[in-house]
This record gives sequence, C-alpha cells and structure tokens, in this order.
Amino acid sequence: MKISLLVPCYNEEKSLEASIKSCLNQTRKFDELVFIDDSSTDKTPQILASFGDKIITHRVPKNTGNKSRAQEFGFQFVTGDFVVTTDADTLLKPNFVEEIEKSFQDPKVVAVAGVVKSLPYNWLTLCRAFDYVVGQYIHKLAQSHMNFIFVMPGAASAFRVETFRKYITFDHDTITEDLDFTYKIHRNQFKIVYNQQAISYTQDPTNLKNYINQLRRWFGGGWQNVIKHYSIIVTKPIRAFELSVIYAEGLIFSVLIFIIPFLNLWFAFWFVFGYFTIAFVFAVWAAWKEKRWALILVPFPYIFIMFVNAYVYLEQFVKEVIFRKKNLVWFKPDRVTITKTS
Amino acid sequence: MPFTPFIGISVIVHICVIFGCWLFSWIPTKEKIAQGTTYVGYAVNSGIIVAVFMLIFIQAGFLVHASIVDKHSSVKFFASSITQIKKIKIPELLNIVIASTNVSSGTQLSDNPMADLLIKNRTDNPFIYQVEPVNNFNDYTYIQSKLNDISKTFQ
Repeated sequence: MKISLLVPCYNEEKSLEASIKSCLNQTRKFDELVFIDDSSTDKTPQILASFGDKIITHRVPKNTGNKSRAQEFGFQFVTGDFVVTTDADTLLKPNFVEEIEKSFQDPKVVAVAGVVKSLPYNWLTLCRAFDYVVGQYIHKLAQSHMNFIFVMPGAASAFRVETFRKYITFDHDTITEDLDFTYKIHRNQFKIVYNQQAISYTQDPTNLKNYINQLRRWFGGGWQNVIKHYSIIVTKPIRAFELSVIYAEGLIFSVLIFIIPFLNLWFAFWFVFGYFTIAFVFAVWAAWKEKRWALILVPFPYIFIMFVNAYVYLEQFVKEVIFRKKNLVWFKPDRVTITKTS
Repeated sequence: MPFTPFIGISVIVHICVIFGCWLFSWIPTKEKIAQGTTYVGYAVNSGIIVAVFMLIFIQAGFLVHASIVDKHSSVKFFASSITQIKKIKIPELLNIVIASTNVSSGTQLSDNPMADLLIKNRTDNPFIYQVEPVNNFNDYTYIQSKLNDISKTFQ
C-alpha cells in the first residue's frame, strides 16, 4: 500500500517547517511527500529546499490564487495508491498515516475523513476549537453512523487515488473544494469512513476579520455546493433528512436571533442566557474531552460569535442563493508562527 | 467547517442518533447505498425536506409567538403606545345631556373609582353639562358608553 501526501503551499513560511516535520515524523512513514509551491513570494521555497530529497517539491509557474488549482497541479506528481491531502499550516499526529492505512484495509472505502483540532492561540481559536469538538464528536460521529459524512475536512482527508482521478477530480466551480469532493463521493455511492484516531492540528484565523472571511468562504461554498449538488439531497432519505436539518436550522434560527431582540428584549435576554447555559454544558464536556480546560470559558465569547456566524450565514445565503453572485476568490488567512505542537 | 451557526436542534438530533446506535445497535442506512431512486423515492425525500423545514419553522414560530405574547413584548409596548396616542385625542371635557338643571359642579357621576366622571360646569344650555374623566381613565369608548348610560338615568 503506497501512501502519498499532497500539500499545496502559498506563503507559508511561518508554519511550513513545523508542518513538514510532523509529516516526516510518522510512525508509518509516507511513501511520498509532494509539496506544491504556488509561486510563494516569501521564504517558502527556501524552507522546502532545506528538506532536500526527503520531500518532492514542485513550483507552479504562476500563482493560481486557489488551493484546489494548486492541488490539481500537484496531483499529476502523485504516484501512490492513496493520497492524504492536508494544508501547510497543519500538523499531523504521529499515528495519522497508520490510522489512515488501517481505514483503507476495507476495499470498499474510497475516502477517509480525519479529525481536525484547532491549535491554541487566542479566544477566536478557542471558539473554533469548540466548534470542532461539537462538530466532529457529535455531528460527524452521528453522520458516520448514518453513512453520510457531510464534509471531508480539507486539512485531514485521504482518498483512493484511482477513484479520485476517475470520479472526483477538480471542477474549480465552488470555493470549498473539500465539500465538492464529499458530495461527488456521495453521488457515486462510494464509502467514506470517519477515523477519530487520525488527528490533525490546524491553524485557524486569529483575528475577527480573518475569521469572518473564512466563514464567508465556508458558508458561501456550502451554499454553492447545495445548488450544485441539489440532486443528491433528494435521492436518499437520510441525506434529505440530514441536510435539511442542518440547513433549516442554520437558516431559520439565523433569522430568528436577529428578530427576537426587536420583538422582546427581555425574552431575547433569556434566550441568550439559555443558549449560554447549553453552551456551558457542552463547553465543560468539550474541555474534558480535549483536556483543554480553557474551553470552559468559551460560552462567553461564543455568544458573540453566534451572532457573527448567523450574520455571515444569512449574508452568504442572500449572495449565493438569492442573487446568485458566485464568489470563487480564495481566501488565505494571515498565519502566525506555530509555537505549540501537540 | 461548522455545520450550522448554532448549537441547536441539529446537535440534539445527532446526539439522539449516537445514543440510538449505542443502545440499540441501530444503523439507519445499513447497506442501502446501492439502491436507485424511484419517483416515489424522490417524492418521499422531498416530503422529508419539507417536513423538517416545517418542524423547525414551527419551533421558531413558537419562540416568536412566546416573545410576542410575553408581558415584556415590544409589540405590546407599541400597541399600548398607540392607545396612549388615542388618550391624547380624547377631549378633556365632554358634553353630556342631563334632563336636570340642578346638578352642581363636582358631582361624581359614577360609583366606579377607576372610571369616574366629574361634572365640571354647566354650558349655556341648562341641560348640557361638561364632564371630565378623572383618575386617568382614558378609554374613550367606555367613557362614551358611560355618558350615554348616565344621561339615560337622568331622563
């Protein structure tokens, strides 16, 4: 079983070295590590070169401005049976490849979704870490029981290369390529497994501007994919159920939380207080689960973040679904140096 | 990416699925993947989508309803503000026709302390008196009906 790694990089000098080291430091080594330099203008090429023949490096002649285009460029150099796709700001846990290999022992498995955790930095990354815990240990776990993984994380996914080349490929017509891949896999009735032991640590936006821009990409891309892959929603009851629960809740409650304060300020206060209490219960559970005790404090900023999330969700719905203004411009958040590795 | 902007109904639904699987070894879509979709299937799945949206919409509707009927409701506040505007429109002094010429000023015309009407003074017409609502009672419709009743009792 030959397992390759594919990592597109663009101006990743702050995080790249730690990321490459984590990829090299695996209990089951990658058979091939392909790094694509998307015409970086910082020290990324030098850092890649410093690893010599331990990694394979290719440089895109002209910046593609889009992760999936850089990935597509790099895919031609992948020679493995399986490929792990991750980001240059992501660290892989030492047993990551080992776990991926275990999941692919089942010949029906076409893709493996790993777990993404947020590297600690500030209150925003704490909120994101909380989202990841709830999203992956509740939503995604239930989805794996229902045989319908909603999204393969861009920072921790692995694919059977032959199937990927034949059925999935790169369309570049949505801004969230990972969701596009996932829906294509479902459309072709292939099997995705969720491996909770294949863990990666990623760097999330550390300021509000970057956070909002990332949400715009995620939610905007989410709506783009719903429009693109609408037919898969109505072809299986479980997909119809799962996707309508997710999108109905997002849409209706995003409107609701902005309406209620106008209808009844006192009621809105109790509504927020109730939400805070629920978030607190989940935060205690998340802190215990992750052994990251700062998560207990997350309900305080999370109330604010809830309104930000809801606003961006509605904004992207209006933009992408109502006005059909498709945004395909890639957003890359500012990186910070990775100082704490797990 | 976060699935929805909230920790809400979907979390509860997914927790139920997880517990369902643990407790009853229940796998909702066990190996039904390879089946094609018929027109009936499309109809059923579309029905599921509509039903889920309706259920969540109804839940949201309950919250909206509860916030409107609550005593702190802004809707109620604005409704009462409109009544306040009506209050201003009520004339301070109202005319009443009473079939008597010896009703003196200051006579109270009602035994309800919250809806009292006070004879203010006579007009040029000896049978018409001016009355004023007291105790901040400003329900104009009620005052009018009260005046009519009082008028009849003097006839």
